[in-house]
Amino acid sequence: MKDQLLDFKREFGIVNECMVYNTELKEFEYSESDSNKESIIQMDELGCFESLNYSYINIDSNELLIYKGKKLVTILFIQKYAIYNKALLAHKVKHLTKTLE
Amino acid sequence: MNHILNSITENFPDIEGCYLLPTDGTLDPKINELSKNTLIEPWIKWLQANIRDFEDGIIYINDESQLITKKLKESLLFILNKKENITLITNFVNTISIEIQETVEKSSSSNSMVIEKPLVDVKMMDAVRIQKLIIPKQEDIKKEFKDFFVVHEQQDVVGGDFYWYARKDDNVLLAIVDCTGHSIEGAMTSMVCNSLLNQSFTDFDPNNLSELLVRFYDQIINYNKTTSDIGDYGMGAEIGLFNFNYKKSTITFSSTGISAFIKRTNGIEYLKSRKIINYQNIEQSIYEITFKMEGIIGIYGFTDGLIDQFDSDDKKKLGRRGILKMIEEEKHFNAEYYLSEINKWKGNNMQYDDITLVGIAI
Repeated sequence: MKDQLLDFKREFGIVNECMVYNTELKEFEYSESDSNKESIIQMDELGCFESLNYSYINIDSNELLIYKGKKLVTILFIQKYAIYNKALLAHKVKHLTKTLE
Repeated sequence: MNHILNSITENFPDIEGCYLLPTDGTLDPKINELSKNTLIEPWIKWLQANIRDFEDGIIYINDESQLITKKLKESLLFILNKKENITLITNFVNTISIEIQETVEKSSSSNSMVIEKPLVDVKMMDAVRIQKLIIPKQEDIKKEFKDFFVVHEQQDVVGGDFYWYARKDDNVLLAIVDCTGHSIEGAMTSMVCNSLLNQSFTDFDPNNLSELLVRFYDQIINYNKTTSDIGDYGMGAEIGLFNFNYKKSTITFSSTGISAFIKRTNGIEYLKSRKIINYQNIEQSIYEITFKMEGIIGIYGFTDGLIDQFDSDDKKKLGRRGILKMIEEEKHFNAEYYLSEINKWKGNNMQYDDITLVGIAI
């Protein structure tokens, strides 16, 4: 998983950090820091992932792309103010999440 | 703050709802109403809990609905959307938030202040406005036919697809144009192509429709030659041009790369244009056909962005068969029906190209 995520980061230079959260085990399978972990856990506790395909959220000076697969949630930390094709990145992270599952 | 909600609903009449949540935690009745939506309720709770650090976001709830949120001066804005263009909404909301911020800055201090602005988005809104200047009014086109609709979905906020309309005596001309490139480069090409099309139309001969296309391509070739600093890469465009001659009761379709379906009382016919444009021999690249208006119910012309759109699993293109199925099973002759069918096909997948579908009822 780590190699796949690092490859993804190399491919998309605008991605600063990746996280993978498992909604069944209620734990992070991969993370590079504790940044925004509480917010992600809170999303799970409140049932936000039940009604989510993906989302772009600016919180706490971080731009997050959150994609929910069947059981894994991939979270990308994107460079602030970076200009990029949002639809393409969402499409790529969908495939990444499917591969990780 | 009600003027913000009014402004949004006036500009985007097809949004599902637009709400403001005060940042002091009090709930107004409208938000309570929204909270009853089980898909949105968890997100409202999460946003309330994180309101201090939250700035903005787009939450794609399912294949159909998006929740667009933005923290304004003293409240959190929610827009629930299904039908409107999400990029245009977010750009509009960004512009509003800048205006609010500027008002706050001006009222709090008489000194001039430097305000951080998302300049790209505001400039893009200007680009959208300028590109819209070349798009004819649908009401004007509707007057020429029994009915008319267009699905014009750019991959980005601006793009290389546009449609064009002109009238001369008993002839009504309608063109679907797919310029090379998407986004900004496509939009720039579309502005030039629109001018060239208008110039080519000045000497229009109703008995020789393809001549208009030849003149158009002559000018493009000339343009590319005289601006040859960029090497072999120049402008290009595919055009599907219809001429409705009401005096003769005929329709002529002259095309380079744009295909169409003709729906008659006794079946549907596919008009397949030549896919490759040979700029050295434009006459040979033009597909042209003339037929009587009698017996025709509808005409559907479309750019290849629609044919090439992949499904939600990203495995299969819609293809001409997919478009044919939509026409065969047509529930309503309007843009809403076709846009809904395209979105069903696309699902959560990305839009790969600019898409234009024009429907004309005779």
